[in-house]
This record gives sequence, C-alpha cells and structure tokens, in this order.
Amino acid sequence: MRKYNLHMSQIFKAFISLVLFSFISFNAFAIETIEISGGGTKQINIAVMPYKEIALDKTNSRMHQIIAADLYRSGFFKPLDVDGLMNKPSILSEINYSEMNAIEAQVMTLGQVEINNNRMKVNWFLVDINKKTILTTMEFSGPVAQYRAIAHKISDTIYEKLTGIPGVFSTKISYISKNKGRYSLNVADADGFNVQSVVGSPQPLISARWSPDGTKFAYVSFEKKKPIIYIQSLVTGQRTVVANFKGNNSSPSWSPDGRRLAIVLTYNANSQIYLIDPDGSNLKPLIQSAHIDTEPVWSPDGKFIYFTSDRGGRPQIYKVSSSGGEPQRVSFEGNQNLNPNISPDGKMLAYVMQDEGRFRVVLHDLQTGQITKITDGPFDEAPKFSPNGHVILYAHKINGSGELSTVSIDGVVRQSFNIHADDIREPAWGPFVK
Amino acid sequence: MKKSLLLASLLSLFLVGCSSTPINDASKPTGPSVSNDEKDLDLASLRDPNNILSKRSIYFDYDKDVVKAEYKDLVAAHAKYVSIHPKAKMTLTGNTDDRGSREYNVSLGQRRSVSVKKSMNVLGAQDTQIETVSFGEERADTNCKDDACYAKDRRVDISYEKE
Amino acid sequence: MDKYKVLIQRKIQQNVNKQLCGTSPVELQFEIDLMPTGELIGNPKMLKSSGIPVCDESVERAIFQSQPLPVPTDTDLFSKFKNLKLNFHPNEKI
Repeated sequence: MRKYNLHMSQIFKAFISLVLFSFISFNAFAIETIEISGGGTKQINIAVMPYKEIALDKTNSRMHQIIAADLYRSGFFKPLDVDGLMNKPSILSEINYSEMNAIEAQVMTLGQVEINNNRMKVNWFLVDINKKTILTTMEFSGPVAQYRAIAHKISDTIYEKLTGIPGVFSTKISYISKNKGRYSLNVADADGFNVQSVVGSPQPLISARWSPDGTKFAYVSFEKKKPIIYIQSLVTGQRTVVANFKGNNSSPSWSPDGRRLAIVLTYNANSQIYLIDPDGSNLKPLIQSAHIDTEPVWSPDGKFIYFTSDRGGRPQIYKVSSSGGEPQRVSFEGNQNLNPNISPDGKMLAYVMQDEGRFRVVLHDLQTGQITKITDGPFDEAPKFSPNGHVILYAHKINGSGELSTVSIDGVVRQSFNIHADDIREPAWGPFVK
Repeated sequence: MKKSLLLASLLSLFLVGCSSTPINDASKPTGPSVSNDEKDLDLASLRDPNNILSKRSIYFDYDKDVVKAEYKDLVAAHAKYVSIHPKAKMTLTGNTDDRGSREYNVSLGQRRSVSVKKSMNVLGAQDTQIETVSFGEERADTNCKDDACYAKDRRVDISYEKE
Repeated sequence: MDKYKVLIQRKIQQNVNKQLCGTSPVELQFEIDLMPTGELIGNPKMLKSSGIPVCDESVERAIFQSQPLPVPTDTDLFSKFKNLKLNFHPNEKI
C-alpha cells in the first residue's frame, strides 16, 4: 500500500514537473525564425592599410595601392578609403576595431616591411574585423625591385582565403600594340605593368596565343605580305614557322596538352580548319566545307573545338568533335556571333555578339543556354577568360584606337588599361605558372 | 660581279630543282634576271598609267563578295595578262572594314579575293599563277563614321610578284 | 511583430553576398543572440552549413554587417527577438 502511495506521489510530482517543464520548454524553444532569400551585396568590404617600413618608421602606400587595385578589379572586393584615417595600424595591437566598424570594414589587411641591402621582407596579416581574429599570416621576401610581384602574391593570398578561388594577380597577359606604324607583341603583368616586347614587326601581328605551359606564343605575322603562323619561345627567343601554305595561315589555337594546334588555311579557297603539330608536320583537315570556318578554340578536355562559321548565312558559333564530324550550332541570339573563347572549366563560352549595331561581349552558359551581355560595345572584341575563369579580358575601340579592359564575369566591375595610350588589340591571358 | 655570278649559279640550281610552284615555300629567289623579266613579263604595261593594268583595286558592296559589273573590264584585263605571261605570279589581297573580329575579317577578305580569282578562272587564268590572301581589317581606316568611308575598305588589291 | 521580422530580413538580405555561394540552391542556418540595442551577443552560431566554407563565412559577415538589427524597443516584444534563427537561401530568386 505504502509503496503504491509513494509511487503515486512520485508520479504526480513527475507529472507536474513534466507539465512545468513543457511549459517552460515551449517558451524557450519558441525561437523566431526568419527566412532570408537572395542577396543584395556583391563585394566584401576590405580596408587595405599602407604598409609600414620598419627602419624608416614611415608608411608607404605603393604596395597597398597595388593590392587594393588588384582586389577591386577582381569584382569581389570593395577597398575602403583609408587615406583619411588618422590611425593606420601596421601591427595587430594598433587596430582600432570601432574605427573599422565605423567605416564598415569586414576584413582588413595590414603589415610591415623590412628593407636590408635591397632585399625586402614583408610580414602581412589578414584580419576579420567582426570576430577580431587573424584569417591569414603571410611572409614574403625578395628583391626590392620586385615589390609589385610581392604585392600581387599578397593579393592572391587574400583573394583565395576569402573567395576559395585561386587568384590571377601573379599571372601575365599579352597584347599587340601599334605605335607609329610598327607592331609589337607585348607581355605584361596582369595589371598591365612591366611591359616587355616579345616580337616587333613593320607589318601587322594578330592572334597571339600562349602555349598551355606558358613558355611559347603561336602568332600570325603579315611580314611576308600574307598571314603566316609562327611559334616563338619566350625562353630562348627562337621562332619557327608552323604554317606557310599557299593562301592564308592564321587563327592558331593550342590543344590543352600543347601537342597540336588547330589552324585556319585557305589555299585558293575559303577559310577552313586544320590540325597540325607545332613543328609544322602532320597536317590534317578537321572539317571541310564550302563556307568560312575559322577561329577554332579547343574545349579544356580536348574533346571539342568551338569555331565561327558562316555556313548558316551570318557568322555564328559552332561546335565539332576534335576528331571531326558533323558540327552543331551553338549560338542563336543576336545578329551575328564570333570570336569564341572558353572558360577553364569548360562550362561557359565568351564571344562577341552583334545586335542593334553594337559588337559586345556575351557569356553563354553551356549547361543552361543562358546568354548574358557583360559589356556594352559598340566595338568590343577578343574576349579571353582569366585562368581562374572569373574575369574577362577584352579589347575595345575608342575613336579609332584600341584599349584593353577587364570585366568580372558578373558584369559588375569593369576597368580599362591605359597602357601608354598606344593602339592596343588582341589581348590574351597567360596560364597559371607552377 | 663575282657576287652576281654566284647568285646566278645558285638561282639556276634552284630553278632546276623546282619545276612547279612550290606550295610550302613562300621565299622567292632573287637574282639578276630583272632585264629578262622586263621583257617576259611586259612590266611596262603593268606600270603604264594609261593602261587598265595599272588599276589594281576592286571594290565591293556591303556584305557581298560578288564582283560588280563595273569591274568586268579590269578583271578581264588582268586575267588576260596572266594568261599570256605564264611566268607572271599574281596575288589577290582581300580587305575588309574594321567592324567585327580580326580573324573573321581575314576570312571575309579572303572570300572576296577568291571571288575575284574565280572570275579570272572563267576567263582562262590558272590557279597556279594566282595566290589569294587576305589582310582582313589590318589595312582599314579605323576612323570611319559612315558607309562612304567603310566602302573604301571593302576591296581586293591586285599585285604581281615581280614589279 | 511581423513588421520587425520584415525589417530584420531586409537589412540582412541587403548585406548577403551570394557571389561566394555558387549557383546551385544552398541552405544555411544560423542562430543569434541579441541585445536590446540590436547588437549581437557573441558570434552567430552556425546550425547548418551550405557545404561551401566561403559561403558560410560570407553569410556570417552579412549578419555582423547588419548590426544593429532593428529590434522592438518594447521589452515584452523584444523578448521574442533576443534569440533568433536565420534561414538563408542565397541563390533563390526573391
């Protein structure tokens, strides 16, 4: 009997506790949930502080300007104006977090430089302003004369840490310039600095293409009063003729493994696509038609070649197996489409679309078919993907003279390079160097 | 004197070795046979401003590669010239205006030079004596604002190897 | 009550940078504790990851960036907001 009573009161207590507990739990677990779809911002706010030179105890803005420009050009970052700040920290203990919050910085980069005997040693930090934590520590050293290369490495590190994407700030670009009737194939840093001439010619140069390993160029020269394809080594400076057949020899495109080139020959007829070895041997037609087939570009897996053809009337983009076969049409919008280039992951094409009288760069998602116009024209040409696929380099004409620009693939950030105000054309983007 | 004898003997070696137009080799032999060429190729007629042969440009309508009627006589004159001078080597160089991509314009210019060549083939000119090439937009006026300006760039130029 | 939810939703949404979240639909969930001023107490707690680390970090930054969150001044009402769950669908069209 007693046992039963005790049991009952225990149960009763348990029941009360349970009820009370549920009551409290019900309130405690009634957390409001808010659904948030989409996003209104496109960039990370970053404060790029000028570095401090330890020995001289002065702040120097050269490297911070290079880093800020790199990050801005990528489209992912909004470097904040730090020039007006009184406090310019170069070590973590100097950071004033409320000042950083006030300018809405989300991350910050700062550091110090030590210069000794023309060598610089750089210590750099990337800091999360909200959590007050160090995201990355960087240490670089090198000759003082290479300060730009060091700044680009810092940009790469910051970019990769925050976006998960490899940075392209240490890569090279090439372009052809025309100055006082002379043509030059030039190589420069990805931000347009450190220009060096690789080839000079009194006749036009076009279609310069980096080999996949970044050591050679294939290009077209008119020095013999007709287009001829050459390959030139960046290492030795030597050049060889790849193709000098009757008629035109142009539009070289390296296969992804660098072992073949797709080229365009004419003999005494219209432009047709061939495959050839870099030493000029093993010539083989890819497809044959009575129409213009030109501007071949290999897919990154080497299985397909995209090209421009007027077989349908106006120039459009087509695709064919790299072992030949029946081409399939790829572009259907606008008036005409030409000059294709493919992203490193093979998922997107960039090409030039002409419509409403303008030539502009468009992106074509090969999986969804969606076309996005990312430039306005009226005379945009030669789009090239960066090696990380997130930026497009292209040329455009203003008042008869050419300029280079980059645009982030979302179309948001566009920047022009004003390289010595030369007439610039035919850009190409060099590969990642291991 | 010695040098030109050496060159002449090298040249004759070269001529013995190659009986037909080499396809792969764009290099042209040089030599002291200028005076022979003057006669054989009647270079004077090519230069004579009163001779239709001194006219070298054929212009095209927008987006067309058809040789217009007004150039019939010019085409015929040059076709006849190469027919009667088997040693003559003609180059037809196509050109375009600067709109569009550079490589596509090389192809477009080529389409025009091929069109002129075909008109000449019909009149008896042989392919072995004609090379069709294109400069695309590379010689175009880059400051054009209207079609009157662009029209000047839509052009095939006739030139000869030895002139 | 709903009015504040909408205000908070809008403010945070404006700061979300979905560039780093790929193109496929992803879902994230964070839990936050708030002071009556609308400031965060501590760091946001991630309950569900998008599977993309840089996306998670980006959304977390958006939450920080949205301080002070527009919370009600009335104490009773505020008690419903001092602990919130935020569900994110950055790649969904609004």
